[in-house]
Amino acid sequence: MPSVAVKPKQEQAKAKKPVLKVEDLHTYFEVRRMGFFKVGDVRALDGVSFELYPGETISIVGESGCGKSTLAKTILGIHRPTKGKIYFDGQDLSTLDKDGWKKYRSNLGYIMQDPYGALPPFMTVKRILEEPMKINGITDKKEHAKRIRQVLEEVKLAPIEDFLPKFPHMLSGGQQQRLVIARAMILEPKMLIADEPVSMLDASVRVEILQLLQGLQRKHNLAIIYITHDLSTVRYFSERIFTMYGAKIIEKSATKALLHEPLHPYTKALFEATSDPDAENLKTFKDVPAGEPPSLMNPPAGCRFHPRCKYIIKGLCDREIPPEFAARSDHSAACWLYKDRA
Amino acid sequence: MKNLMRQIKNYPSAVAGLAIILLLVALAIYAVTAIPYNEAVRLWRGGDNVWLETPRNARPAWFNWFYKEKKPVTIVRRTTDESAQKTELDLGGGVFIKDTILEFDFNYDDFPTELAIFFTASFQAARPNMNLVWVTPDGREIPLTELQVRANESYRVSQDSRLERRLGAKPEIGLFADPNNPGKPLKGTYQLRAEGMVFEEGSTVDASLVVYGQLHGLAGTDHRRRDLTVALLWGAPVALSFGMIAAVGSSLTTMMLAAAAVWFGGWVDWTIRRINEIVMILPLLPILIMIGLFYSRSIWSILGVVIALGIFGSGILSYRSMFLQVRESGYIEAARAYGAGNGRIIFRYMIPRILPVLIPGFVIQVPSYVFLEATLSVLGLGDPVLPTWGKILSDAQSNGALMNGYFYWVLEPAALLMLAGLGFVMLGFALDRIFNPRLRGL
Repeated sequence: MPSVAVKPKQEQAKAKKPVLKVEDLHTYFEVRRMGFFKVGDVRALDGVSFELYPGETISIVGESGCGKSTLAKTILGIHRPTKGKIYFDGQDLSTLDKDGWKKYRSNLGYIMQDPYGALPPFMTVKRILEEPMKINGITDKKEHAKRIRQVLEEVKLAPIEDFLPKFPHMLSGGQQQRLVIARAMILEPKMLIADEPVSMLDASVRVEILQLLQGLQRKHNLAIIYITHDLSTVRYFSERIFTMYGAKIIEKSATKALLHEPLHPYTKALFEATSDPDAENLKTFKDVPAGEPPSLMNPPAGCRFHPRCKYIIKGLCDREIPPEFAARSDHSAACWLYKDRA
Repeated sequence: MKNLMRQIKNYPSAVAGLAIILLLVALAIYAVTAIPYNEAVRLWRGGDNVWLETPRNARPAWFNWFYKEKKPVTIVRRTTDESAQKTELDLGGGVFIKDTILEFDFNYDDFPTELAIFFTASFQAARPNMNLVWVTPDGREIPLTELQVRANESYRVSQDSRLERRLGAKPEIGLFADPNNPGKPLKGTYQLRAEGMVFEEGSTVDASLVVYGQLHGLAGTDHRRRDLTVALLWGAPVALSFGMIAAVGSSLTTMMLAAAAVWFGGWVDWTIRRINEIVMILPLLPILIMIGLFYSRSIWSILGVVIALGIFGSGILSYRSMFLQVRESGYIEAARAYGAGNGRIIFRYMIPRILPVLIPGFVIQVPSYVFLEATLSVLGLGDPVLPTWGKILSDAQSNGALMNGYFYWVLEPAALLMLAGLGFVMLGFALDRIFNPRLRGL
C-alpha cells in the first residue's frame, strides 16, 4: 500500500478547542426476558473518554464486539448513552432539544462499512443526495443542485449528469462508497465518523477511498473518527490510535509511538496478528492470546483482558480495574504493567 | 416503470390479464359516464313504472342469431310517431275525430309474450273516447275494446278476459295466430286502428302500442322488466372500486401498522400484535352479516368493515418479519444519522423497500374482495340501492332463474365476475414472477 503522508497536526490542534469531547460514556443495552423482566445489561460501552480536535483523525481499533460501532452510534445519537456526557463544540448533547439534535446531526457525517446497504436501493443518486438536505431544511432547488454538483466533484463521481438518475445497484462498490461519502459531506459537516469504510471494498479501491477522505479532511478541516480492525490502513491515515477492548479504551497513543512500541499486551497481540505478505511468516509462530473476547454482560473483574493476558499480575489484574497510566506524553495505557512508569 | 412494462410484455398471460382489466375499466368508465349514478339508481329502483315498455324475463336479443325460429323482439308504436298515419276530422262543437293507424311488421316465428296499450290524454272535463281495432295481415278486423281515457290509462290486452273468450286463446296468441295454422303466428304487416274522439277544443289523446317480445337488448331483462344491461354495466365500477379500495386500503394500512410496530418496537409492537391476534380469530363473514342485518347494508359501510378487519391477519405478521429485516439495513441507520424522523423513515424508507414485492399480492387480492361483495349480495346483504353483479345473482336466485330456464340471468353476472377474477389473477401471477425473480424458473 502506498504511503499517504500525514503532517503531524496534533500539536497545533491541541491548542484549539476540541470539536468533540466524550466524558465517561456508558451505553448499556437492557436484556429482558419475555419482554418484561430485566435480566441484566450488555455493557457495550463502559466508561470511554476522549477529545477530538478539528482536522484530526482518530483511529479506533479493536476486535469485533469490543464496542467500536456502539461508540460511533452513541456519538451519532442512534443509541442514547446510559451515563456520561458528549460535548460537541462545547455544547452538552443531553441538553439539546429536537431542533438542536437536528442541527448537531447535520454537523456529522456517517460513513458505513457496507456501501450498498447504506444506500436505499429504491432511490436514485439525486434523491439520495437530496434527502439529507430536505430533512435539514434546505429546500431551495438551486441550492440542492449546487451542493450536489460540489460534493460529486469532490468525491470524483464524474460525469455528474450520468450518475444522477442511477440507482445504487448500477454503481460499483467503490462508486457506492464515494456516493456514501458524498452524502455524508453534503451538509458540510465538521466531523466524519467512518465505521470501517473500506473493509468491504476491493483492495485496489481502498487506497483511493482513504486518499479521498484525507483530501476532504484537508479541504474542510474535518475531524474524523476512523473505526477499523484493519491495522494496515491505520498507520497511513491517523494521528492518534485508540485501542478498545471489552467496551473500554485500553490504550491511547500517537500513531508513530504506537507503531514503534505498543504498550498494552492486547495491543501487542493485535499487532502481532496483523498479517504481512511475507514468505518468512511461514516459519514464524504468531503468539496470539488464546481465549475469547469477554462477555459484556458479566465482564471479568479487574482488567478485562486478564483471563487472556500472559503478563498477568495475580491479585492485582484480576481484582482492580487499571486506570490510565501515561507512559509518555502522547501515549497512555490502562494496564497495571505501567503503574511505575506513570 | 418502463422496465416493468417491458417485462410484462414477456408474459402473455399478463398481457391478457391487463387487457381484461383495461376492458373492465373501460366498461366502468363508460357505465359511469353513460348512466350517471342517480340515473342508474332510478332505473334500478324504478321497477315497473320505469320499465313499462320492456318485457319480463326476456333473453338477450342476440340469441336470435342462434335460433332457427326467430323469436320476436319488442315492438313499440306510438301515435305521436312521425310514421303514424293520422286523420283528423272536425265534427263541430269542439268534437274531433282523431284516428291513427299504428302499423308494424311482424316476421317472427313465435308469439309475443304480452300486449299492452298505454294512453295519455289531456282534457278539461270530458274524457276522450278511444276505440281500438286490430287488423291482421290477412285483413281480419278484430275490435279490441272501447274506453274512456283518463290522463294516464293502460289497457293490458293480454289480461282482457273477454277478448280472450272471444278469441278462444290468450290475446297475444289469438291476435297473431295464423287461422290456417294456429300454432304459428301469421307473418306480415299488422295494424292497430286507434279511433279517438275528443270532446273539447285542444283536448288530445295518444296511444302507444307495445308488443312485448321474447328477447330484449344486450343482456335481457329480469322479473321486474329491468334491462340487465344497466346492472351489468354498473356492476363493473362498483366491483372494481370495491375490490381495489378494499385490497389496497387494507394492504397499505396493514403495511403501515407493521412498519410502525417494527420501527417503534416495545409496547407499540406488543399492542399491535395482541390486537392482531384478537382480530384474527374474528370471523369476517358472520360479522358482515350482522352488520348488514343490524346496522347498514350500504356498500360503503361494508367496505369500511372489510378494510378494518382485513388490516389484521397473517399479513401483518409476514410484513412484520420483512420489516424486521429492513429495519436493520444500513440505509435506515444512515437516515437516522442525517436526522430523518420516524414518519419519514416509515413512509419513505421502510415501506418503499417492500412495496414492489407486495404489489402482486394486492393485485391477486382484488378479485377476492370482488367475490366477497358478490357473496354478500347473494346472501341478501348487498347494497339495497346500487346495482351490482351480486345483486343480479341474488335476484336470479330468489326468482328461481335456473328452474325457469333464465340461465342468462345467472351466467351474465357470473361470467363478468369470473372475467374480473381471471384478469387480476393472471396479471398478479405474472407480476409475482417479475418481482420475485426466484419464481422465474418455474
